[in-house]
Amino acid sequence: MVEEDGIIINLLRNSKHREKGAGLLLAKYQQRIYWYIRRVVVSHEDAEDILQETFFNAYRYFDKFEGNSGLYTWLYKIATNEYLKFIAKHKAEFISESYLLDKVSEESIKDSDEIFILLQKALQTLPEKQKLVFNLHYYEDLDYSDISGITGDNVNNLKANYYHAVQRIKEFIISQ
Amino acid sequence: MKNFDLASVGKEIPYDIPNGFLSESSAKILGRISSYEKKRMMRRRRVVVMYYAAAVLAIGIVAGIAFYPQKSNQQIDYVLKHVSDNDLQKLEKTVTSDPFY
Repeated sequence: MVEEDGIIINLLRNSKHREKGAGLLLAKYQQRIYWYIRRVVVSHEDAEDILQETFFNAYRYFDKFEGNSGLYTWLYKIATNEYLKFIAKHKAEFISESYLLDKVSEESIKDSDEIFILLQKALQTLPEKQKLVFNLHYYEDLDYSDISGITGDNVNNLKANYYHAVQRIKEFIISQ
Repeated sequence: MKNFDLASVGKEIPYDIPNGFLSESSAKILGRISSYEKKRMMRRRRVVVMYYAAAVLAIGIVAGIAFYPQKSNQQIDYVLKHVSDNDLQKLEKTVTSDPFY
């Protein structure tokens, strides 16, 4: 995996092969980043917009990637920034919990197990930081040091955020 | 729901994505990257052309100043020799009647 990333990085740094590198980057990470975004914005169309911006900006500003962190960490960081920009632009909708809960019902596959729908609804009731940390740690299996590289928070803070997120999710689901 | 254990729930997402979305999305992003690259190359080419044009202009100005043909006294003498007295008088009158003379 790391070896593959090395090839992608070398291609993206080579002016003659940059576009080929972009193709490989998309092939490897597009799906993963899409689901990361989709879980927080819920709507497919919004996730698609953020996904486009994420990969375009990753390509455009690739010279800023210093290689201190993993390629996937860097992509999550760009995706997170794009997501935060997106919700700042659509504040009115994203500030409303009921909007997001309705959106989860609307977007869910009709014959899905109810617990999965409830878990996504619970995720939407979390404060922004807890939502991101829970998404990255629980769903994306990232360790706290990687998450720290993405959000800029220290590991203890992240652990506390994750703990509170899990508590809130449990409370939400039990109350249903 | 009374009993809930996060560890046993699993990570399934209840959302769907349209068929072929990922390949369509890749094509869109790569298309955008390709047109960005074309624009970037055009911009770079335009800057190079502008630099060359400025350099050629600067060389032209320097060369023009250095090699501009100066009228020699011989040429002036030749002209004066071939002007009629009448024309010379008219010329003198024009010059002396100039209020700024």
